[in-house]
Amino acid sequence: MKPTNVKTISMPIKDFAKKIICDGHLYLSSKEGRRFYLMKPGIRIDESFIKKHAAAQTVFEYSSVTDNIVTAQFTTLFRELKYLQFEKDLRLKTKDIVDFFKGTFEKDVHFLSFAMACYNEFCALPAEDLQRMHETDLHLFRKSLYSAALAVIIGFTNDFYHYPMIKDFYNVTLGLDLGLCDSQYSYFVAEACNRENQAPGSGRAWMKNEGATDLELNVFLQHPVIGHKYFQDHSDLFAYPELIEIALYQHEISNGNGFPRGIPKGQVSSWEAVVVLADSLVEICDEYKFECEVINYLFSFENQKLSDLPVHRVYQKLCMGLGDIFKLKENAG
Amino acid sequence: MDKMVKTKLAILNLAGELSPELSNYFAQKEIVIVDPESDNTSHIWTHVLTKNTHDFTNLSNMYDTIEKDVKIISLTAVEDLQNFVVSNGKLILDELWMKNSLGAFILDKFLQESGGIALGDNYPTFKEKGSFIITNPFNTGEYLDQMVQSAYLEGVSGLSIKTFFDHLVMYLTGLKNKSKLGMPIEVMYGYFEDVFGVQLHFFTKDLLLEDVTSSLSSNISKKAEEYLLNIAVKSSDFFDFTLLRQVNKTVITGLWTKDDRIQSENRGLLFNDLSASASITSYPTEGITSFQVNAQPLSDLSDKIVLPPSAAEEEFKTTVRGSKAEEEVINIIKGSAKEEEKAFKISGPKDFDVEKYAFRISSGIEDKKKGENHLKVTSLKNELPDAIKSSFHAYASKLNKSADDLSEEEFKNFNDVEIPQIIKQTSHKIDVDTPASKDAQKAFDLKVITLNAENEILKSKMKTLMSEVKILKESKTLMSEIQMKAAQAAQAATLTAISKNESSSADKALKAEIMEKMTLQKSLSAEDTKRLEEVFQKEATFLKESREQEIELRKMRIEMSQKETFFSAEIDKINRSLRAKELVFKKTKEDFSKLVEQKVLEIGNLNKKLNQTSKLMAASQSQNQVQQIRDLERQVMNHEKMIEIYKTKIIQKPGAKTEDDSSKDESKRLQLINNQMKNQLEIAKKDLTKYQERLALDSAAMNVLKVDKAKLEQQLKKAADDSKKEVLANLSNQQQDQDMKKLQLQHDFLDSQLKQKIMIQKELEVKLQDALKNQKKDIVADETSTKGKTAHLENNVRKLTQDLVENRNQLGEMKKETNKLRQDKIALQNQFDKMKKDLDKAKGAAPQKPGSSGQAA
Repeated sequence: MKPTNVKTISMPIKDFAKKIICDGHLYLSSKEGRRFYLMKPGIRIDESFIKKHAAAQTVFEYSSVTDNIVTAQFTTLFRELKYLQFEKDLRLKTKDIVDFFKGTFEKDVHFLSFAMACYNEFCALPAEDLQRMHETDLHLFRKSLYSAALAVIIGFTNDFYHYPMIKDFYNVTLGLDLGLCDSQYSYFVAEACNRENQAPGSGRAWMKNEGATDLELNVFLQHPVIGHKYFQDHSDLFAYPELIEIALYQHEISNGNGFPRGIPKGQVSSWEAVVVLADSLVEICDEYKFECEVINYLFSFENQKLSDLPVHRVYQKLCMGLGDIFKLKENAG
Repeated sequence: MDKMVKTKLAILNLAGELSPELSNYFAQKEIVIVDPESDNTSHIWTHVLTKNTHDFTNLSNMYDTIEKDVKIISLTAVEDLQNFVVSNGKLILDELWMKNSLGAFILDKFLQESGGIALGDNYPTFKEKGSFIITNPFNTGEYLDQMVQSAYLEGVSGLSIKTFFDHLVMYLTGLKNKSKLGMPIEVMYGYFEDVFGVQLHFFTKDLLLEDVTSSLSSNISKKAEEYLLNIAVKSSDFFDFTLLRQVNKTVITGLWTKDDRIQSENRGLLFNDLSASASITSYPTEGITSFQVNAQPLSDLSDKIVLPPSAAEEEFKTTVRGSKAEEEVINIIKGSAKEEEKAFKISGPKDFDVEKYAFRISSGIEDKKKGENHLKVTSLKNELPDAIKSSFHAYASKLNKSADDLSEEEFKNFNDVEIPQIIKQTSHKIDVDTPASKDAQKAFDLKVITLNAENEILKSKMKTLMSEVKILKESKTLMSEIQMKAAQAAQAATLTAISKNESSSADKALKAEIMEKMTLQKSLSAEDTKRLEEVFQKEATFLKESREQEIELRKMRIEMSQKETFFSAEIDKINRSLRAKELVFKKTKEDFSKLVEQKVLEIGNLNKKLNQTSKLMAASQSQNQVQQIRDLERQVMNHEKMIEIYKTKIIQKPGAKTEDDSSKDESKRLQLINNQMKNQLEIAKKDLTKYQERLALDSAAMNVLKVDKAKLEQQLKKAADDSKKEVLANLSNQQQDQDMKKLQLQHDFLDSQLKQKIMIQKELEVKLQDALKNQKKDIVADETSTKGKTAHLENNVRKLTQDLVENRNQLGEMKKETNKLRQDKIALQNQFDKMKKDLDKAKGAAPQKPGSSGQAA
């Protein structure tokens, strides 16, 4: 996506090094005056990059996309929710968050503002594992960052008000693709995941047609199991360790022909569907158009595609929570 | 409902004669059912059917029910639930349930071993009334209040649901403490016809039968944990406990029916353990609720809690005139019937069911547990329902109306005048009946019962069909109803006020008269006392009525306010949707107008081209040029047509239906192009990876070369040293020559390899550039409408370009390396030449060997 915020500032490496995730567009100007685009918003900043430029004392050009006030407001709301006890208070606070989300992203605010607030508030996964994800594929971490943030809002609109549970949803979604971090990860695996999102059940056939190797196919088919195993090894990070099971539902489809277990729609609970929906809303790619129009993006899903996934009910509740446009879509045929 | 049972089932019938409905069910599903008294054939039993059995241990031992997984079905209530479940008892289903539309579903579900986690997956077409998630079992108050209110509004005893839910949640908390259950618990509730259902589902891990039976004790003790589940089971009309082993989940459903035939002793129970191969039945669930969005204000429903009457109240109630049978009937219809949901329903023209009405009068209400003891009457004769039904229809036809269209007044008249007569006549007829005719009567009764049952089933089917239509109509009639009610309420209020004024003035006069008499005579006559009593009675009834009216008014007000908020919300929603529609429409309009502008621009460009070519043509008209011009003209024509199509699309947009096909074609075409481009990209990517691999190989070769070069340098150094040594030590020149040749050869080899690598690199560059050009060409040639779709491809191209730049950088570095190597080579060559010269010099300076033809001294 082209930078929407044209206002760029000079940023020395020592300032940039304070960030964990790049929250804007990063450029480097050559001596001849040419400007090179170095980093997109949402990309994780790795140490080697910092070291390399620290040695050269590089000064970057930087244009931020996030709204720090919005991020701070979301963080405040999350903190308020954290210390509430009674269900009515929790429900009302959750409603406030959803309303604020709706009001914010109806304007041209970048979705990363919310994603950053969620990351700062809920992320509990070890940094080295997230780094591993980033090293496997630059876009894999970014995709997980956005999916996890969407899981938060889907959770809230689906009557999950409990802070620790939302936190668990966030971390399960964020680490869902850790199962893909394998030496055999390739373009084929990433594209198969995307195909699976676009047309549930088509990823495996696509890989076979394209001549992916057995090792690559194995990475694709086994990644939910590997992800689940990873969470089992890190179950102490979760307030509700039973939610770890969700990792196994990532590629289950309504007709029971998904993998790894082939569970039909009738046996997928809403908490599983929250994560599955969040995961299927974002693909592994280097550019996301929804960043500045997330509400429209969420309403634009075709019912057909979602009916292939066991998430229809959760999606409807998301739309209801965000303003009932879903009903309009259905009425309009 | 008509699904076939998949696996071959064989049921051993120890229950004796089965009801016609149950027999029909088994016959329809082609299930083998064997009565050992009449049939000696043996099968591998899958189920055992029992009735009035209370000790299941013997049965379990006799048929190895646990080892062979023979499931026990009891057709009557079971005294010891623990014993029943431990002996592999799975289903308790009274035959009465088969008269209800739900009975067949329950049996289907049990025998097919199907189930899911949503209410609709377990029971047919449930309309969801609410759902919520429990994460803290001690923090459920608001959810429970909402659910109980919803149950009361549906006419179901919310108190039973409250008891069920509280005990069940505490039982589940116990399971959680045993680490057998995981949070959250998802709760859904809703209704289907006259059945209200509550369903909970949650994670369970290694749940054993003992975990269930340990809380099923029938004894109420100090330790509530022992009977929690038992209370939950006994608070519902049907309790379903299903384990879904494949997904480690458990689903518990409680059902409450408004069918008066289902009493506490007919309570049902189902324990199902579904394996991985369990089939899933999925029925649609109507509506989706969100607690956040749909939470309604809670109203005070205290009047719904009616305690059993005390002895004094009972006595007061029996002061109704007439024979005993008449008293009972009249009591139901005229008296406290208003307190009871069903009686209230049958008194109005809506939802009037003659069948239920007649049944109700003839059999009475005996359910003490529902807290409506004052309605208790003894069962009357079997003849009554038909007599009431037929005379009711006769009464309606006499008034030239259908049963549904009778007004309140006409209905009241029927109750007051006709019913006592019917009872009198029927009682008389029964007294006169001879014993011989009784048998015939019995057979007739049986027929009537069967027919009634069939009728019930048909009715339930009809109801399911009609319910959809009703839901549609309901929304329209709601508003008018509210208005009517409001008007009625206002009217009633004024009438009460008037009557109150009238009666109070008469009563005041009477009171004054009696007071006067009291002061004058100091005693009252019997007649006066009676009159006074009547006045007091009147006052009491008046007070009662006014209180009832007040309650009704309050209810109506609440209802009104609820409806108002509901409708305003609906209107808001519609407005919002309209606004959104308008926005969508505007956007598409803008898109199309932009498209048209672009097309116009394209045409302008084409026209320019056309002019240019026509000028060229005028200069020299060759056949090729003519052809080109024709092509261009065609293109222009096509574009013009396209513009026309787009224009018509914009005009047709409000209709928005006809263009769908063409836009679909367009999108298909775009998708094709997209796919083609993607394929090209993928090929390019593959090529790129190949080239990258080659590059890696090349760099490896370069490394080898570097190593060789280092070796060579070492060798050269060595050679130089050697040569120096040779000069000093006068060693033989032949060896040096050979070394030189070797070095020369190695240099040549290095040279040739470098050239090859450079060639490969150039080829690689050219191929990459070609690939990029092709892609760019394709992208440029594509229509502007493909922009959105090709943006992704462009990005990929950009990505490829980045990769290319990287590769180029790598190539540059390699070139630099090559240059370095070249320089090294040249340096080495120079060194070599120098060394050669030195050698020659050394040769020249060296003394001639003896015997050689050297220069003369």
